[in-house]
Amino acid sequence: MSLMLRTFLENERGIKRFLSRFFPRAQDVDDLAQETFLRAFAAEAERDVLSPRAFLYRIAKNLALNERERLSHRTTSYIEDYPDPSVLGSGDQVSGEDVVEGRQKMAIFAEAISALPPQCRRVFLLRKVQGLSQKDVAQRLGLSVSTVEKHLATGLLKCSEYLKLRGYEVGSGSAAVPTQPQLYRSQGGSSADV
Amino acid sequence: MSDPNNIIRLVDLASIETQAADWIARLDRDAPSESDLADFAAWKALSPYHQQAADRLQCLWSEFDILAKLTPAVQDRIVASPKRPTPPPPWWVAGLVAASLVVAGLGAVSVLQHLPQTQVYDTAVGGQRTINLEDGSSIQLNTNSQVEVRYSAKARDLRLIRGEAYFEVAPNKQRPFSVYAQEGVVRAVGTAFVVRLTGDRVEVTVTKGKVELAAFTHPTSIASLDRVASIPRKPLTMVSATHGATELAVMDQTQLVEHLDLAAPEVTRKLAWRQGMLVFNGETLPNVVADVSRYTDVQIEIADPTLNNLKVGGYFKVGEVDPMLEALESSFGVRVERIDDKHVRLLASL
Repeated sequence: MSLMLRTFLENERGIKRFLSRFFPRAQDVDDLAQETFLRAFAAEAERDVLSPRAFLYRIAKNLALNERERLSHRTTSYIEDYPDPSVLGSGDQVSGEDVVEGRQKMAIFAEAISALPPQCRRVFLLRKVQGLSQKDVAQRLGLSVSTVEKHLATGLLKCSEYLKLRGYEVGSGSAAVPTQPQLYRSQGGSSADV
Repeated sequence: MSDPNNIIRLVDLASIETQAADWIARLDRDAPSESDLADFAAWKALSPYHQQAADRLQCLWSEFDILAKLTPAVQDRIVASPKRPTPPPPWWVAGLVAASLVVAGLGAVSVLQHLPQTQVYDTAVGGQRTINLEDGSSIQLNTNSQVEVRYSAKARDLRLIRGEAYFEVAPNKQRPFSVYAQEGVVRAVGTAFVVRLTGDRVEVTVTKGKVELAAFTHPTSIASLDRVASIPRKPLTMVSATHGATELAVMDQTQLVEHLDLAAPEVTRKLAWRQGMLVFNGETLPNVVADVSRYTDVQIEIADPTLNNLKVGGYFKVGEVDPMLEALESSFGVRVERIDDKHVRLLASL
Protein backbone atom coordinates (compact mmCIF):
# COMPACT_ATOMS: atom_id res chain seq x y z
CA MET A 1 0.00 0.00 0.00
CA SER A 2 1.33 3.44 -0.82
CA LEU A 3 2.51 5.69 1.96
CA MET A 4 -0.11 8.26 1.04
CA LEU A 5 -3.03 5.86 1.22
CA ARG A 6 -1.79 4.44 4.50
CA THR A 7 -1.33 7.90 5.96
CA PHE A 8 -4.77 8.86 4.74
CA LEU A 9 -6.38 5.82 6.32
CA GLU A 10 -4.56 6.47 9.57
CA ASN A 11 -5.69 10.08 9.63
CA GLU A 12 -9.08 9.80 7.99
CA ARG A 13 -11.01 10.39 11.20
CA GLY A 14 -8.92 13.40 12.14
CA ILE A 15 -9.28 14.89 8.66
CA LYS A 16 -13.03 14.41 8.76
CA ARG A 17 -13.25 15.94 12.21
CA PHE A 18 -11.27 18.89 10.90
CA LEU A 19 -13.57 19.24 7.87
CA SER A 20 -16.70 18.97 9.98
CA ARG A 21 -15.73 22.23 11.67
CA PHE A 22 -16.47 23.90 8.35
CA PHE A 23 -19.37 21.83 7.08
CA PRO A 24 -22.26 20.47 9.08
CA ARG A 25 -23.44 17.94 6.50
CA ALA A 26 -21.76 14.54 6.77
CA GLN A 27 -22.07 14.14 3.01
CA ASP A 28 -20.00 17.27 2.39
CA VAL A 29 -17.39 16.08 4.84
CA ASP A 30 -17.17 12.67 3.14
CA ASP A 31 -16.93 14.23 -0.30
CA LEU A 32 -14.18 16.61 0.73
CA ALA A 33 -12.27 13.86 2.51
CA GLN A 34 -12.41 11.79 -0.65
CA GLU A 35 -11.28 14.79 -2.66
CA THR A 36 -8.40 15.29 -0.24
CA PHE A 37 -7.17 11.78 -0.88
CA LEU A 38 -7.51 12.18 -4.63
CA ARG A 39 -5.48 15.39 -4.67
CA ALA A 40 -2.82 13.86 -2.48
CA PHE A 41 -2.74 10.77 -4.66
CA ALA A 42 -2.22 12.94 -7.75
CA ALA A 43 0.52 14.91 -6.05
CA GLU A 44 2.28 11.75 -4.98
CA ALA A 45 2.21 10.61 -8.57
CA GLU A 46 4.28 13.61 -9.52
CA ARG A 47 6.79 13.87 -6.74
CA ASP A 48 7.77 12.46 -3.39
CA VAL A 49 5.84 13.98 -0.55
CA LEU A 50 8.09 14.29 2.47
CA SER A 51 5.53 14.67 5.19
CA PRO A 52 2.31 13.12 3.96
CA ARG A 53 0.31 13.82 7.09
CA ALA A 54 0.93 17.57 7.03
CA PHE A 55 0.38 17.50 3.30
CA LEU A 56 -3.05 15.87 3.67
CA TYR A 57 -4.15 18.41 6.25
CA ARG A 58 -2.95 21.26 4.09
CA ILE A 59 -4.99 19.98 1.15
CA ALA A 60 -8.04 19.48 3.35
CA LYS A 61 -7.74 23.01 4.64
CA ASN A 62 -7.41 24.53 1.19
CA LEU A 63 -10.36 22.54 -0.08
CA ALA A 64 -12.47 23.57 2.90
CA LEU A 65 -11.65 27.25 2.44
CA ASN A 66 -12.35 27.14 -1.28
CA GLU A 67 -15.59 25.31 -0.80
CA ARG A 68 -16.75 27.74 1.85
CA GLU A 69 -15.87 30.63 -0.45
CA ARG A 70 -17.81 29.02 -3.29
CA LEU A 71 -20.87 28.41 -1.14
CA SER A 72 -20.90 31.96 0.12
CA HIS A 73 -21.17 33.19 -3.46
CA ARG A 74 -24.10 31.00 -4.23
CA THR A 75 -27.26 33.03 -4.09
CA THR A 76 -29.67 30.14 -3.77
CA SER A 77 -28.94 26.90 -2.05
CA TYR A 78 -29.24 23.72 -4.05
CA ILE A 79 -30.38 25.49 -7.16
CA GLU A 80 -29.36 22.38 -9.10
CA ASP A 81 -32.06 20.43 -7.37
CA TYR A 82 -34.81 22.68 -8.62
CA PRO A 83 -36.88 20.69 -11.06
CA ASP A 84 -37.36 22.40 -14.38
CA PRO A 85 -40.01 20.57 -16.38
CA SER A 86 -38.85 22.17 -19.61
CA VAL A 87 -35.50 20.48 -19.24
CA LEU A 88 -35.19 16.89 -20.18
CA GLY A 89 -34.60 14.18 -17.65
CA SER A 90 -34.97 16.36 -14.61
CA GLY A 91 -36.22 13.29 -12.80
CA ASP A 92 -33.89 10.37 -12.90
CA GLN A 93 -30.39 9.40 -13.68
CA VAL A 94 -28.87 12.59 -14.96
CA SER A 95 -27.98 14.73 -12.01
CA GLY A 96 -25.15 16.28 -10.09
CA GLU A 97 -24.63 12.81 -8.70
CA ASP A 98 -22.84 11.88 -11.90
CA VAL A 99 -20.03 14.23 -10.99
CA VAL A 100 -19.78 12.69 -7.56
CA GLU A 101 -19.81 9.25 -9.12
CA GLY A 102 -16.96 10.27 -11.38
CA ARG A 103 -14.92 11.29 -8.35
CA GLN A 104 -15.85 8.05 -6.61
CA LYS A 105 -14.67 6.09 -9.58
CA MET A 106 -11.42 8.00 -9.55
CA ALA A 107 -11.06 7.34 -5.84
CA ILE A 108 -11.54 3.59 -6.14
CA PHE A 109 -9.12 3.47 -9.08
CA ALA A 110 -6.61 5.52 -7.09
CA GLU A 111 -7.03 3.11 -4.23
CA ALA A 112 -6.45 0.12 -6.51
CA ILE A 113 -3.23 1.67 -7.80
CA SER A 114 -2.13 2.54 -4.29
CA ALA A 115 -2.38 -1.13 -3.40
CA LEU A 116 0.16 -2.17 -6.07
CA PRO A 117 3.77 -3.10 -5.20
CA PRO A 118 6.00 0.02 -5.23
CA GLN A 119 7.80 -0.25 -8.56
CA CYS A 120 4.70 -1.50 -10.36
CA ARG A 121 2.77 1.41 -8.84
CA ARG A 122 5.34 3.96 -10.00
CA VAL A 123 5.16 2.66 -13.54
CA PHE A 124 1.38 2.57 -13.53
CA LEU A 125 1.14 6.10 -12.15
CA LEU A 126 3.48 7.59 -14.72
CA ARG A 127 1.69 5.86 -17.57
CA LYS A 128 -1.93 6.32 -16.51
CA VAL A 129 -2.01 9.39 -14.29
CA GLN A 130 0.83 11.40 -15.80
CA GLY A 131 0.07 10.12 -19.26
CA LEU A 132 3.69 9.37 -20.21
CA SER A 133 4.34 6.87 -22.98
CA GLN A 134 5.94 3.53 -22.13
CA LYS A 135 9.19 4.77 -23.59
CA ASP A 136 9.17 7.91 -21.46
CA VAL A 137 8.29 5.92 -18.36
CA ALA A 138 11.23 3.61 -19.05
CA GLN A 139 13.57 6.55 -19.46
CA ARG A 140 12.32 8.29 -16.35
CA LEU A 141 12.78 5.24 -14.14
CA GLY A 142 15.85 3.82 -15.84
CA LEU A 143 14.08 0.63 -16.85
CA SER A 144 13.83 -1.19 -20.12
CA VAL A 145 10.61 -0.80 -22.10
CA SER A 146 9.89 -4.49 -21.75
CA THR A 147 10.12 -4.21 -17.94
CA VAL A 148 7.72 -1.28 -18.06
CA GLU A 149 5.40 -3.36 -20.20
CA LYS A 150 5.53 -6.22 -17.70
CA HIS A 151 4.77 -3.90 -14.79
CA LEU A 152 1.80 -2.47 -16.65
CA ALA A 153 0.42 -5.93 -17.41
CA THR A 154 0.82 -6.94 -13.76
CA GLY A 155 -0.67 -3.66 -12.58
CA LEU A 156 -3.69 -3.99 -14.83
CA LEU A 157 -4.33 -7.53 -13.69
CA LYS A 158 -3.95 -6.70 -10.01
CA CYS A 159 -6.11 -3.60 -10.28
CA SER A 160 -8.75 -5.67 -12.04
CA GLU A 161 -8.71 -8.21 -9.22
CA TYR A 162 -8.79 -5.49 -6.61
CA LEU A 163 -11.78 -3.83 -8.25
CA LYS A 164 -13.57 -7.16 -8.68
CA LEU A 165 -13.28 -7.72 -4.93
CA ARG A 166 -14.80 -4.31 -4.38
CA GLY A 167 -17.76 -5.14 -6.60
CA TYR A 168 -16.75 -2.73 -9.32
CA GLU A 169 -17.95 -3.94 -12.68
CA VAL A 170 -15.68 -3.03 -15.54
CA GLY A 171 -17.28 -1.32 -18.49
CA SER A 172 -20.54 -0.60 -16.74
CA GLY A 173 -19.86 3.11 -16.63
CA SER A 174 -20.07 4.19 -13.05
CA ALA A 175 -23.27 2.36 -12.20
CA ALA A 176 -21.64 -0.34 -10.12
CA VAL A 177 -19.49 2.01 -8.09
CA PRO A 178 -20.67 1.80 -4.51
CA THR A 179 -23.14 4.61 -3.96
CA GLN A 180 -21.69 5.60 -0.62
CA PRO A 181 -18.34 7.32 -0.86
CA GLN A 182 -17.06 5.25 2.05
CA LEU A 183 -14.30 3.66 0.08
CA TYR A 184 -11.79 3.77 2.85
CA ARG A 185 -12.29 2.01 6.09
CA SER A 186 -10.49 3.60 8.98
CA GLN A 187 -7.65 1.68 10.54
CA GLY A 188 -7.51 -0.96 7.87
CA GLY A 189 -10.87 -2.53 8.68
CA SER A 190 -12.36 -5.21 6.52
CA SER A 191 -12.97 -4.18 2.96
CA ALA A 192 -15.62 -6.79 2.39
CA ASP A 193 -18.40 -4.54 3.59
CA VAL A 194 -17.56 -1.65 1.26
CA MET B 1 -18.14 -38.81 -17.57
CA SER B 2 -18.45 -35.25 -16.39
CA ASP B 3 -17.75 -32.57 -18.91
CA PRO B 4 -13.97 -32.24 -19.17
CA ASN B 5 -14.32 -28.95 -21.01
CA ASN B 6 -15.52 -27.27 -17.87
CA ILE B 7 -12.46 -28.33 -15.96
CA ILE B 8 -10.13 -27.07 -18.61
CA ARG B 9 -11.98 -23.79 -18.74
CA LEU B 10 -11.80 -23.25 -15.01
CA VAL B 11 -8.09 -23.82 -15.00
CA ASP B 12 -7.58 -21.64 -18.02
CA LEU B 13 -9.57 -18.59 -17.02
CA ALA B 14 -6.86 -17.13 -14.80
CA SER B 15 -4.17 -17.64 -17.39
CA ILE B 16 -6.42 -16.17 -20.07
CA GLU B 17 -6.75 -13.03 -17.95
CA THR B 18 -2.99 -12.88 -17.50
CA GLN B 19 -2.41 -13.26 -21.20
CA ALA B 20 -5.01 -10.61 -21.98
CA ALA B 21 -3.26 -8.17 -19.65
CA ASP B 22 0.06 -8.98 -21.34
CA TRP B 23 -1.48 -8.26 -24.71
CA ILE B 24 -2.93 -4.96 -23.65
CA ALA B 25 0.38 -3.81 -22.19
CA ARG B 26 2.17 -4.93 -25.35
CA LEU B 27 -0.23 -3.03 -27.60
CA ASP B 28 0.13 0.03 -25.40
CA ARG B 29 3.66 0.46 -26.70
CA ASP B 30 4.27 3.48 -28.87
CA ALA B 31 3.76 1.69 -32.15
CA PRO B 32 2.40 -1.82 -31.92
CA SER B 33 3.53 -3.77 -34.93
CA GLU B 34 0.96 -5.03 -37.38
CA SER B 35 1.91 -8.59 -36.65
CA ASP B 36 1.22 -7.94 -32.94
CA LEU B 37 -2.21 -6.62 -33.81
CA ALA B 38 -2.97 -9.55 -36.05
CA ASP B 39 -1.72 -11.97 -33.40
CA PHE B 40 -3.86 -10.32 -30.78
CA ALA B 41 -6.93 -10.57 -33.00
CA ALA B 42 -6.14 -14.24 -33.53
CA TRP B 43 -5.64 -14.76 -29.82
CA LYS B 44 -9.00 -13.18 -29.04
CA ALA B 45 -10.66 -15.37 -31.64
CA LEU B 46 -9.57 -18.50 -29.75
CA SER B 47 -12.72 -18.52 -27.63
CA PRO B 48 -15.42 -16.24 -26.25
CA TYR B 49 -13.50 -16.32 -22.95
CA HIS B 50 -10.46 -14.84 -24.62
CA GLN B 51 -12.60 -12.22 -26.28
CA GLN B 52 -14.36 -11.32 -23.02
CA ALA B 53 -11.17 -11.10 -20.99
CA ALA B 54 -9.60 -8.87 -23.62
CA ASP B 55 -12.67 -6.64 -23.87
CA ARG B 56 -13.02 -6.32 -20.13
CA LEU B 57 -9.39 -5.51 -19.42
CA GLN B 58 -9.12 -3.21 -22.40
CA CYS B 59 -12.15 -1.36 -21.14
CA LEU B 60 -10.65 -1.12 -17.65
CA TRP B 61 -7.33 -0.02 -19.11
CA SER B 62 -8.96 2.93 -20.83
CA GLU B 63 -11.20 3.65 -17.86
CA PHE B 64 -8.04 4.33 -15.87
CA ASP B 65 -7.43 7.31 -18.12
CA ILE B 66 -10.00 9.15 -16.01
CA LEU B 67 -7.16 9.59 -13.50
CA ALA B 68 -5.26 11.79 -15.93
CA LYS B 69 -7.79 14.48 -15.03
CA LEU B 70 -6.11 14.68 -11.64
CA THR B 71 -2.86 16.12 -12.90
CA PRO B 72 -2.90 19.68 -14.16
CA ALA B 73 0.18 19.15 -16.30
CA VAL B 74 -1.51 16.44 -18.28
CA GLN B 75 -4.70 18.43 -18.44
CA ASP B 76 -2.85 21.27 -20.12
CA ARG B 77 -1.49 18.92 -22.68
CA ILE B 78 -4.93 17.58 -23.46
CA VAL B 79 -6.64 20.94 -23.55
CA ALA B 80 -4.96 21.93 -26.75
CA SER B 81 -6.03 25.42 -27.64
CA PRO B 82 -8.31 25.57 -30.63
CA LYS B 83 -6.56 25.87 -33.97
CA ARG B 84 -8.24 29.14 -34.69
CA PRO B 85 -8.49 31.29 -31.60
CA THR B 86 -12.03 32.60 -31.92
CA PRO B 87 -12.17 34.06 -35.40
CA PRO B 88 -14.98 36.59 -35.56
CA PRO B 89 -17.36 34.80 -37.93
CA PRO B 90 -19.97 36.73 -39.87
CA TRP B 91 -22.80 35.98 -37.45
CA TRP B 92 -20.81 37.50 -34.67
CA VAL B 93 -20.49 40.79 -36.50
CA ALA B 94 -24.19 40.66 -37.30
CA GLY B 95 -24.91 39.81 -33.69
CA LEU B 96 -22.81 42.73 -32.55
CA VAL B 97 -24.72 45.12 -34.76
CA ALA B 98 -28.02 43.69 -33.62
CA ALA B 99 -26.87 43.86 -30.04
CA SER B 100 -25.86 47.47 -30.24
CA LEU B 101 -29.26 48.26 -31.70
CA VAL B 102 -30.84 46.58 -28.73
CA VAL B 103 -28.62 48.53 -26.40
CA ALA B 104 -29.51 51.75 -28.16
CA GLY B 105 -33.18 50.86 -27.96
CA LEU B 106 -33.39 49.58 -24.44
CA GLY B 107 -30.62 51.39 -22.73
CA ALA B 108 -29.73 49.57 -19.58
CA VAL B 109 -29.39 46.01 -20.87
CA SER B 110 -25.75 45.04 -21.05
CA VAL B 111 -26.12 42.62 -23.89
CA LEU B 112 -22.60 43.10 -25.14
CA GLN B 113 -21.08 41.69 -22.01
CA HIS B 114 -23.04 38.50 -22.40
CA LEU B 115 -22.36 37.85 -26.04
CA PRO B 116 -21.31 34.22 -26.00
CA GLN B 117 -18.15 33.24 -27.78
CA THR B 118 -18.01 30.58 -30.41
CA GLN B 119 -15.09 28.22 -30.71
CA VAL B 120 -14.47 25.91 -33.61
CA TYR B 121 -12.47 22.71 -33.19
CA ASP B 122 -11.54 20.29 -35.93
CA THR B 123 -9.45 17.31 -36.87
CA ALA B 124 -7.82 16.39 -40.18
CA VAL B 125 -8.27 13.04 -41.89
CA GLY B 126 -6.71 10.44 -39.60
CA GLY B 127 -6.58 12.84 -36.66
CA GLN B 128 -8.30 12.60 -33.31
CA ARG B 129 -8.38 14.95 -30.36
CA THR B 130 -10.07 15.54 -27.04
CA ILE B 131 -11.34 18.94 -26.04
CA ASN B 132 -12.06 19.65 -22.40
CA LEU B 133 -14.65 22.35 -22.03
CA GLU B 134 -14.85 24.89 -19.24
CA ASP B 135 -17.86 23.25 -17.57
CA GLY B 136 -16.19 19.86 -17.23
CA SER B 137 -17.80 18.39 -20.31
CA SER B 138 -15.57 16.98 -22.98
CA ILE B 139 -15.65 16.29 -26.67
CA GLN B 140 -13.66 13.58 -28.35
CA LEU B 141 -13.41 14.27 -32.05
CA ASN B 142 -12.90 11.44 -34.48
CA THR B 143 -11.18 11.73 -37.86
CA ASN B 144 -12.08 14.54 -40.25
CA SER B 145 -14.56 16.17 -37.92
CA GLN B 146 -15.54 19.67 -36.96
CA VAL B 147 -17.58 20.97 -34.08
CA GLU B 148 -18.66 24.42 -33.06
CA VAL B 149 -19.18 25.29 -29.40
CA ARG B 150 -21.09 28.20 -28.03
CA TYR B 151 -21.58 28.52 -24.30
CA SER B 152 -23.81 31.15 -22.77
CA ALA B 153 -25.12 31.60 -19.25
CA LYS B 154 -28.33 29.74 -20.04
CA ALA B 155 -27.36 27.22 -22.68
CA ARG B 156 -24.60 25.05 -24.01
CA ASP B 157 -25.10 24.87 -27.75
CA LEU B 158 -22.88 22.81 -29.98
CA ARG B 159 -22.99 21.92 -33.62
CA LEU B 160 -21.43 18.93 -35.29
CA ILE B 161 -20.51 20.31 -38.66
CA ARG B 162 -18.95 17.15 -40.01
CA GLY B 163 -17.65 13.81 -38.89
CA GLU B 164 -18.16 12.12 -35.56
CA ALA B 165 -17.81 13.11 -31.93
CA TYR B 166 -18.26 11.62 -28.50
CA PHE B 167 -19.78 14.01 -26.00
CA GLU B 168 -19.44 13.51 -22.29
CA VAL B 169 -21.72 15.99 -20.63
CA ALA B 170 -21.22 17.48 -17.18
CA PRO B 171 -24.66 17.68 -15.61
CA ASN B 172 -26.23 21.10 -15.21
CA LYS B 173 -29.98 21.35 -15.47
CA GLN B 174 -29.83 25.11 -15.69
CA ARG B 175 -27.73 24.96 -18.85
CA PRO B 176 -29.07 22.36 -21.26
CA PHE B 177 -26.52 20.76 -23.53
CA SER B 178 -27.72 20.62 -27.14
CA VAL B 179 -25.89 19.21 -30.09
CA TYR B 180 -27.19 20.38 -33.43
CA ALA B 181 -26.54 18.17 -36.41
CA GLN B 182 -28.06 18.60 -39.84
CA GLU B 183 -31.76 19.16 -39.22
CA GLY B 184 -31.93 17.73 -35.78
CA VAL B 185 -30.87 18.33 -32.26
CA VAL B 186 -29.75 16.01 -29.48
CA ARG B 187 -30.53 17.39 -26.08
CA ALA B 188 -29.06 16.17 -22.84
CA VAL B 189 -28.48 17.23 -19.28
CA GLY B 190 -25.76 14.90 -18.07
CA THR B 191 -24.90 11.93 -20.19
CA ALA B 192 -22.53 10.55 -22.79
CA PHE B 193 -23.22 9.91 -26.43
CA VAL B 194 -21.75 9.79 -29.91
CA VAL B 195 -23.10 11.74 -32.86
CA ARG B 196 -22.01 10.86 -36.34
CA LEU B 197 -22.88 12.54 -39.61
CA THR B 198 -23.02 10.64 -42.87
CA GLY B 199 -24.60 12.54 -45.71
CA ASP B 200 -28.10 13.52 -44.56
CA ARG B 201 -28.09 10.96 -41.81
CA VAL B 202 -27.44 11.68 -38.17
CA GLU B 203 -26.57 8.68 -36.05
CA VAL B 204 -26.82 8.94 -32.28
CA THR B 205 -25.41 6.28 -29.96
CA VAL B 206 -26.05 6.78 -26.26
CA THR B 207 -23.64 5.10 -23.85
CA LYS B 208 -24.84 6.70 -20.66
CA GLY B 209 -27.99 8.47 -19.49
CA LYS B 210 -30.70 9.61 -21.83
CA VAL B 211 -31.05 12.14 -24.62
CA GLU B 212 -33.89 13.55 -26.58
CA LEU B 213 -33.67 13.50 -30.34
CA ALA B 214 -35.70 16.21 -32.06
CA ALA B 215 -36.01 17.36 -35.66
CA PHE B 216 -36.68 20.80 -37.04
CA THR B 217 -40.30 21.05 -38.14
CA HIS B 218 -39.31 22.66 -41.42
CA PRO B 219 -36.22 21.89 -43.43
CA THR B 220 -33.74 24.40 -42.09
CA SER B 221 -30.06 24.55 -42.63
CA ILE B 222 -28.23 26.34 -39.91
CA ALA B 223 -25.16 28.32 -40.69
CA SER B 224 -24.27 29.12 -37.12
CA LEU B 225 -25.44 28.54 -33.58
CA ASP B 226 -26.83 32.02 -33.37
CA ARG B 227 -30.53 31.82 -32.57
CA VAL B 228 -30.77 28.08 -33.12
CA ALA B 229 -32.79 27.79 -29.95
CA SER B 230 -35.72 29.54 -31.59
CA ILE B 231 -36.05 27.14 -34.53
CA PRO B 232 -39.29 25.17 -34.10
CA ARG B 233 -38.72 21.47 -33.59
CA LYS B 234 -40.64 18.32 -32.89
CA PRO B 235 -39.43 15.55 -30.60
CA LEU B 236 -38.69 12.29 -32.42
CA THR B 237 -37.66 9.89 -29.70
CA MET B 238 -35.78 9.39 -26.48
CA VAL B 239 -32.56 7.47 -26.79
CA SER B 240 -31.21 5.99 -23.59
CA ALA B 241 -28.63 3.73 -22.09
CA THR B 242 -30.19 1.90 -19.21
CA HIS B 243 -29.31 -1.39 -17.53
CA GLY B 244 -26.07 -1.60 -19.45
CA ALA B 245 -27.79 -1.45 -22.83
CA THR B 246 -26.70 0.97 -25.49
CA GLU B 247 -29.22 2.41 -27.92
CA LEU B 248 -28.76 3.73 -31.37
CA ALA B 249 -31.09 6.05 -33.24
CA VAL B 250 -30.70 7.28 -36.78
CA MET B 251 -32.47 10.20 -38.36
CA ASP B 252 -32.46 10.95 -42.04
CA GLN B 253 -33.23 14.59 -42.73
CA THR B 254 -36.13 15.14 -40.35
CA GLN B 255 -37.34 11.53 -40.10
CA LEU B 256 -36.45 8.91 -37.54
CA VAL B 257 -35.42 5.88 -39.59
CA GLU B 258 -33.96 3.56 -36.99
CA HIS B 259 -34.05 3.07 -33.24
CA LEU B 260 -32.62 -0.10 -31.74
CA ASP B 261 -30.63 -1.74 -28.98
CA LEU B 262 -27.03 -2.46 -29.87
CA ALA B 263 -25.51 -5.82 -29.03
CA ALA B 264 -22.38 -5.63 -26.89
CA PRO B 265 -19.84 -6.55 -29.61
CA GLU B 266 -21.40 -3.94 -31.87
CA VAL B 267 -21.05 -1.32 -29.15
CA THR B 268 -17.36 -2.17 -28.71
CA ARG B 269 -16.91 -1.96 -32.44
CA LYS B 270 -18.70 1.35 -32.80
CA LEU B 271 -16.79 2.98 -29.96
CA ALA B 272 -13.35 1.48 -30.58
CA TRP B 273 -12.24 4.66 -32.34
CA ARG B 274 -12.22 6.37 -28.96
CA GLN B 275 -9.32 4.08 -28.05
CA GLY B 276 -7.70 4.80 -31.38
CA MET B 277 -8.70 1.44 -32.82
CA LEU B 278 -10.88 0.09 -35.57
CA VAL B 279 -12.55 -3.22 -34.86
CA PHE B 280 -14.27 -5.47 -37.37
CA ASN B 281 -16.31 -8.55 -36.54
CA GLY B 282 -17.11 -10.01 -39.90
CA GLU B 283 -18.21 -6.91 -41.80
CA THR B 284 -18.09 -7.20 -45.57
CA LEU B 285 -15.03 -5.83 -47.30
CA PRO B 286 -16.81 -2.81 -48.83
CA ASN B 287 -17.97 -1.76 -45.36
CA VAL B 288 -14.52 -2.26 -43.93
CA VAL B 289 -12.97 -0.23 -46.73
CA ALA B 290 -15.51 2.52 -46.24
CA ASP B 291 -14.73 2.64 -42.54
CA VAL B 292 -10.96 2.60 -43.00
CA SER B 293 -11.22 5.29 -45.67
CA ARG B 294 -12.56 7.75 -43.14
CA TYR B 295 -9.11 7.79 -41.57
CA THR B 296 -6.86 8.10 -44.59
CA ASP B 297 -6.24 9.98 -47.81
CA VAL B 298 -5.38 6.75 -49.52
CA GLN B 299 -8.06 5.75 -51.94
CA ILE B 300 -8.88 2.05 -51.71
CA GLU B 301 -10.70 0.59 -54.66
CA ILE B 302 -12.23 -2.87 -54.69
CA ALA B 303 -11.51 -3.81 -58.28
CA ASP B 304 -12.90 -7.32 -58.10
CA PRO B 305 -16.63 -7.75 -57.35
CA THR B 306 -16.04 -11.25 -55.98
CA LEU B 307 -14.43 -9.53 -53.00
CA ASN B 308 -17.64 -7.72 -52.09
CA ASN B 309 -18.88 -10.64 -50.02
CA LEU B 310 -15.62 -11.22 -48.20
CA LYS B 311 -16.18 -10.97 -44.45
CA VAL B 312 -13.39 -9.42 -42.45
CA GLY B 313 -12.60 -9.54 -38.76
CA GLY B 314 -9.71 -7.74 -37.19
CA TYR B 315 -8.32 -5.03 -35.06
CA PHE B 316 -6.38 -2.12 -36.46
CA LYS B 317 -4.94 1.10 -35.21
CA VAL B 318 -6.80 4.11 -36.55
CA GLY B 319 -5.05 5.66 -39.53
CA GLU B 320 -2.75 2.74 -40.20
CA VAL B 321 -3.74 1.48 -43.60
CA ASP B 322 -0.72 -0.65 -44.41
CA PRO B 323 -1.18 -3.18 -41.61
CA MET B 324 -4.74 -3.69 -42.77
CA LEU B 325 -3.68 -4.17 -46.36
CA GLU B 326 -1.02 -6.59 -45.31
CA ALA B 327 -3.49 -8.54 -43.21
CA LEU B 328 -5.83 -8.70 -46.18
CA GLU B 329 -3.01 -10.02 -48.30
CA SER B 330 -1.71 -12.56 -45.84
CA SER B 331 -4.94 -13.89 -44.38
CA PHE B 332 -7.83 -13.08 -46.65
CA GLY B 333 -6.67 -14.03 -50.12
CA VAL B 334 -6.62 -10.48 -51.39
CA ARG B 335 -4.00 -9.13 -53.76
CA VAL B 336 -3.09 -5.51 -53.14
CA GLU B 337 -2.02 -3.51 -56.14
CA ARG B 338 -0.44 -0.19 -55.36
CA ILE B 339 -1.07 2.25 -58.19
CA ASP B 340 0.69 5.11 -56.42
CA ASP B 341 1.03 6.66 -52.96
CA LYS B 342 -2.61 7.56 -52.74
CA HIS B 343 -4.30 4.83 -54.67
CA VAL B 344 -4.63 1.13 -53.97
CA ARG B 345 -6.61 -1.57 -55.77
CA LEU B 346 -7.81 -4.77 -54.19
CA LEU B 347 -8.08 -7.91 -56.34
CA ALA B 348 -8.80 -11.53 -55.60
CA SER B 349 -5.53 -13.42 -55.49
CA LEU B 350 -5.30 -16.38 -57.82
